[in-house]
Amino acid sequence: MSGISVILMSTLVLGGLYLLMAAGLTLIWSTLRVFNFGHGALLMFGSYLTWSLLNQAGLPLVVSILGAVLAMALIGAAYEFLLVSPFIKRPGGDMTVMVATLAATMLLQSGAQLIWGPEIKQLPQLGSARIEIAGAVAQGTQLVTIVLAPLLVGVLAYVLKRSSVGLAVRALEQNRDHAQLLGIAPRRVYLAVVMIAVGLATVAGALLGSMQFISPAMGADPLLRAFVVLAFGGAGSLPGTIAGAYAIGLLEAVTTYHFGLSWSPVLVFLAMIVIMLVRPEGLLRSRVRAA
Amino acid sequence: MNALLTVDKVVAGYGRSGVLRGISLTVGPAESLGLLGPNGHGKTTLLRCVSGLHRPTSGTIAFAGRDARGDTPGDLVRRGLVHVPQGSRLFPQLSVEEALRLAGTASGHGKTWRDGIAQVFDVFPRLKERRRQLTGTLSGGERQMAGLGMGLMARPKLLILDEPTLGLSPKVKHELSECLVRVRGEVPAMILVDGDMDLVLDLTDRYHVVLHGDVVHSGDSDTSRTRDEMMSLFLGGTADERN
Repeated sequence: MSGISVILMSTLVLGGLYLLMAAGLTLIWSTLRVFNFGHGALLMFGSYLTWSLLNQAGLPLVVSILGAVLAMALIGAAYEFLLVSPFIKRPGGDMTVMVATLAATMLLQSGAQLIWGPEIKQLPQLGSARIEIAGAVAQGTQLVTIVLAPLLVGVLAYVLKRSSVGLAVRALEQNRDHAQLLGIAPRRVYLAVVMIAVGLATVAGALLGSMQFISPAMGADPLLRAFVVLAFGGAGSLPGTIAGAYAIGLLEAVTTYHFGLSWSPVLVFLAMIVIMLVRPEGLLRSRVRAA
Repeated sequence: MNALLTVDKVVAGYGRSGVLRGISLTVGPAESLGLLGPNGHGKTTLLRCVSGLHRPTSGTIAFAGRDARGDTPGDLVRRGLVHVPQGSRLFPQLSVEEALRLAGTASGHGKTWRDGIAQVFDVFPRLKERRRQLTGTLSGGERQMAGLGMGLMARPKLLILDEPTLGLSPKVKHELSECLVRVRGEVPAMILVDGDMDLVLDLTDRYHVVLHGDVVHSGDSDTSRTRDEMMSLFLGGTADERN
């Protein structure tokens, strides 16, 4: 019996982490039509920055995370300014941007190695709250992840649904030329989208740095999983991404529990290939958009 | 007369293929101009240049007495130049009301978009019935109405309509023509491109015929409008070019 509750708890933690990553990637994909390869490295950088604010600047943990999110949003703005906007409007510019984000990954990883050195770091647990349900225990950062990730992405989805900014983002996704003719400035929307996405990745980085370790390569794994989530949920749809994140979390929790940690990634990617064969538009992709 | 829009010797194209070959025209502040001519001869490219979506290779475009080169579509919309593009794709996953609201707020009428929507619903009662429906699920005619309504939301000084009746059945087209008459009453100046020659001549004061990226014939819409004359110009013109 406790097997099921352990799997479910693990699903909520993993799903939440992937959700924070994939929501930003989806937002970037649906507006800019590029896959941001740098997203994992940005997560890693945000994690290190949180560590520095905590241990070198001596700020409280929550303040450190908030500070890192703000600082990373600014770095996200620079990222958009240097890597995205110079190329995106050129013919075939989306490929150039994707290569540029790959290059940024290398740069950020080497930068982190230079700044923070090779030894592995860790953030402390976020709080000491603890709950136990049917033999499964969630405490500290895990518990925060379970609550915070859907909350943040839920707020994001609500803002996209209700506000004028959200309307502009969705309009740009659906018809770029016409959106411009209405008076929407794509540059501003891109900037906002990248800053929000990087902010969410930083939160994921802080949570991951507290549950596992901080290292220059720590972003690679979440990036790959978020990529699978995008394929799973249908890139560009936020509800699909939410469902996809928890589906992948569940899949990983089940396979880890029954087959072991080393088999789990293999099975996750196998599932992705099957999904892409059966439903190439993603699990929840709506018909209206496909038309 | 001070022109609202002046297009002077504009050359434009995509890559190496030239589309516009030094086209010039003007639109007065209370005037409606029709553009006729077969597809693929540069009408849409001209309109995209005017509204800032496409950069001309050379030539000048001025709107409301100011050089419009370098202005983004957004700058121009906020100054009153509003382009309703060809095709009825719109924003398939926005509801009619959301799309209209966006057209109001994005064009700088963030405070008065509610009044704007009420006015648009007066012009298009059908849109009021469909207000909660996603634009992607509207019929072809309703989609064109939604596109026109979004254009009106920006309170245009000059409204540019590119093929508003494209692909509509005769019955729906007739209904939309009546809407277009009402739209003409709502906007000071207009440029209308459409394949339906009679519709264009009915709704405009002057017309140009555009062939191979330039104006080859011009006239007043309400005089000398024998259909035969226009037909022979169209067919004769293209036949000569082919030979």
